[in-house]
Amino acid sequence: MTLTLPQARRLSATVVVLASLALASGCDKLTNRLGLTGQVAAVAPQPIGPERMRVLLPTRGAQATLAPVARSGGTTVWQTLDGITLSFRQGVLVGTRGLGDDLMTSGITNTLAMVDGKLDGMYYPHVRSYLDGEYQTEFRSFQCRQQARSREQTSIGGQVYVTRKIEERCVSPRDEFTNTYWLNTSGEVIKSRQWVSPAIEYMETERVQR
Amino acid sequence: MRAGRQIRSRKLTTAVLVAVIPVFALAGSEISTGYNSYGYPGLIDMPVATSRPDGELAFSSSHFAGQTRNTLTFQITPRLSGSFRYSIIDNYQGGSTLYDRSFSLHYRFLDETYTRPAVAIGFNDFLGTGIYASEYVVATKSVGKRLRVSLGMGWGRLGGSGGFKNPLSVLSDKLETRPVRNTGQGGTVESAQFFRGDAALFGGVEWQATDRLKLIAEYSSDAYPDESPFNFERDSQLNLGASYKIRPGMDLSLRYLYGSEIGVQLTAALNPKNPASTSGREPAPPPVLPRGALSAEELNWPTSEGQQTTRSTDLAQALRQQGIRLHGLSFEGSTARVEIENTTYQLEAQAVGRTARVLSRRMPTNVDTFEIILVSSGVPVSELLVRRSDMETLGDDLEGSWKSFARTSITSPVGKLHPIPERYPRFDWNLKPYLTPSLFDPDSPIRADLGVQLDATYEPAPGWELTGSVRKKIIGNLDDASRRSDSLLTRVRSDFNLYEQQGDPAITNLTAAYYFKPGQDLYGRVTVGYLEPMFGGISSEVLWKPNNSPFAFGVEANYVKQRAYDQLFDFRSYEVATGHVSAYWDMGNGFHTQIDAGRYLAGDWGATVSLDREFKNGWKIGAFATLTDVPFSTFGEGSFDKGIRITMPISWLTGEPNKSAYTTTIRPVTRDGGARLDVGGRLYEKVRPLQKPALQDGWGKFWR
Repeated sequence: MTLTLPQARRLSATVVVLASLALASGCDKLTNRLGLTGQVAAVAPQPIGPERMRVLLPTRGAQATLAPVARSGGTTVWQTLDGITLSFRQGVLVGTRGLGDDLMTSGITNTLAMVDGKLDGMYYPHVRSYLDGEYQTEFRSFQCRQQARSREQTSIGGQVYVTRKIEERCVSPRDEFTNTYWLNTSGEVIKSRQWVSPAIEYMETERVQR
Repeated sequence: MRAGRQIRSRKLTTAVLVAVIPVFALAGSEISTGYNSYGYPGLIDMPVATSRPDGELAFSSSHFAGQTRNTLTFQITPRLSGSFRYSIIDNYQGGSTLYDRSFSLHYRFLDETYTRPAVAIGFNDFLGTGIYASEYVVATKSVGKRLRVSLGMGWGRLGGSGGFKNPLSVLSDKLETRPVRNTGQGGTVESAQFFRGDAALFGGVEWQATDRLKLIAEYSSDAYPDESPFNFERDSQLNLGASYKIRPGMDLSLRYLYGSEIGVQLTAALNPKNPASTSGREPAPPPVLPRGALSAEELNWPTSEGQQTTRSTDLAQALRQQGIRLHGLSFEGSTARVEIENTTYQLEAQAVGRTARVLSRRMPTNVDTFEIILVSSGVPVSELLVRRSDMETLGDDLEGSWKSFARTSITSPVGKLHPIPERYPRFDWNLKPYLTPSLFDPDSPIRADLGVQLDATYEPAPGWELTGSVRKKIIGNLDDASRRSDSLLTRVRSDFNLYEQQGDPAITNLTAAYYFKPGQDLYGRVTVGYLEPMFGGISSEVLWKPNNSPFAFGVEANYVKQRAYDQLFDFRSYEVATGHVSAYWDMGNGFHTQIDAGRYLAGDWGATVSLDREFKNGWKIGAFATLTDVPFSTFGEGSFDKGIRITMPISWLTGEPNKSAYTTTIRPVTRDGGARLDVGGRLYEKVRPLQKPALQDGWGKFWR
């Protein structure tokens, strides 16, 4: 069911620590045993439903299958085996935890309206929040707009689906991204490519069909 | 006619471009300010007016013609930087090798605009012997995106070559001559010299050839009076240099200096504002479960004692997975009162957030308020009232962070704690490596010991802590230091060499401490035993620190006896009553100041002033100075005790939660005047991270 997420990133962190420790205390490979890392345990996911989602982070070369672990107020929290969670509302990403450069919150009311076809061609504001280097909440605002809407046949796990493909382009003075959502005939997002943060860049999701 | 119009419009375009380009040049200047050979913002030997990014901490090492300068520079504010330098000069004045410590300040008081250059003023080596003593005013203006020109006037050493009559002497004839320093033991501010004597012009050009390569040419006004001709011949005042950015924060520079020498410099800089990971790499917190999603068994109140015990055991287990220790659990009406100890997160707010999430999953549905009490050393410091409904609704709210802070009431609790039976007694031990560096001994400027340290803590009841640490050296050369103290005072610190040589293994501390809370905003501590490597006895402290106040006051009284050099169980004959009254002020914008006045270990009376800049991610960089009634001549080298201290949180390095930090204090010289007892568990730093201002600063991590 699951693959763990970025070992490479963790390893590089360990290397940094090792290098620093080599400077600071002249020895040591046992950062975990020293209690420098790994102080918070990843709690195994307790799925609340049979659905699964496959997520790919191309920049990290990481891939995982997630299970839903909580649902409240229209938001579903999905979790990997190694304790990373992603929150989605109607298939649109609203937050991540455990990726290192997490999306803390995201205001997606306008995006959902756009997906529903209510904002045809109009620009709308989009605000999201991150933590900065001093762990302070930092809001970043974007101007977004539906870029394209088309019919497309897409394949998920070897099966071909007829989907509506919607592209959303968002621009801020600092960043810009294009999110793509593939909706099935009942209007559910079954595949997407969504921008997380400057360090993570895009995340690709696919609903696992069973 | 058509052609004419075209030409005219082209001219117009050109005019527009010309008008636009310089503005763009200012806004988009791509030249990065470098560190000069003295380690402060500059060209090669000369200063510039621009600054480095706020908060940057840089170490630079430069070498040419038998002179090495190692400098630590901190960009204290966006405009002000301060440097501490350790120089090694061969054949100083034709004689032996000189080891010299010096400070510099650089202050940019005007920013560059379209018409005006940036302008800065600086002071070098204003304390002590003053071999680099100089003052300057310098202006820097960018021309286009990649070219920058600086021009300045220097006094003192920077007025040495091409000097002329001080233009400031129109103000007063006194300024024409620079008085000779009466340095004595060094360490005092020589302000009488400032901007006096001959002045000279200096300047230079920086060209950012590529993103990584910068070429510099400068005209130096430094005559190197003590180094030339002993170390090198000055054939020219023109210096040429190239600086290459190896990677962000690391630069290598090569120079051709004074027409005769090749110089090299390596600079490594870091910025506390850039941690390994902004939001952290720790696993996600457990998702909040809305009450509607809880299973039927959760709906019931625990009725029997057995059920309650099961519940607290379950909760303790769930919190332990999050790195949080459950201290107590009780219910009152619809409120669950949960006492926790954060053993993991650098920011308490994150521990609070995770606790509230765990509670939302485990508390009976009729609990609608979580009363979370932050406990440190068995003492309740803060009480947070978190509404369960806010946990259920604000997690996905775009502005959930500040909204949940606004809706959380934070107070200082009164009343007793109700520890769960599993909490006490508790025994912990830990084996870890240690490293103790020793700097600036002229015989060997860097020494260090590396070894293992065994720590043990036993907590028999709330507030009681028995702790001990033993160190065993594995390798090192601290005991090579052969210089004996020449102190005229009681040798309370300057015999550190003897302690290093004979303390193997050493009991660095072995104490019994009791922490208590005598009033709502009062905290108390009594510690007895071997308090620190050099002293043992009794130490007592009371701190007044209201939860939401920028001020705190404390009193500490100790009676201590000097420990034997072997740092085992024996004492020497010296006894002293020492203690301080302390005032603490959180000045805002991350600056904290503290004044401690009282009697020091050598029996001298005086006060210590310290100023720290604290970053919200836990970095602290600061300086302190102590003046006592010991005359400078009696104190010895340096005249009075002073130093800088740096704290780097381990979590900044790893991107994972961790409460520990690496702290180092750099003292130019360690002597006996103004020496304070180094007892562990001082209350201010125990209490402050758990109080409202710190919780507010860390609230971004509440939902992380």
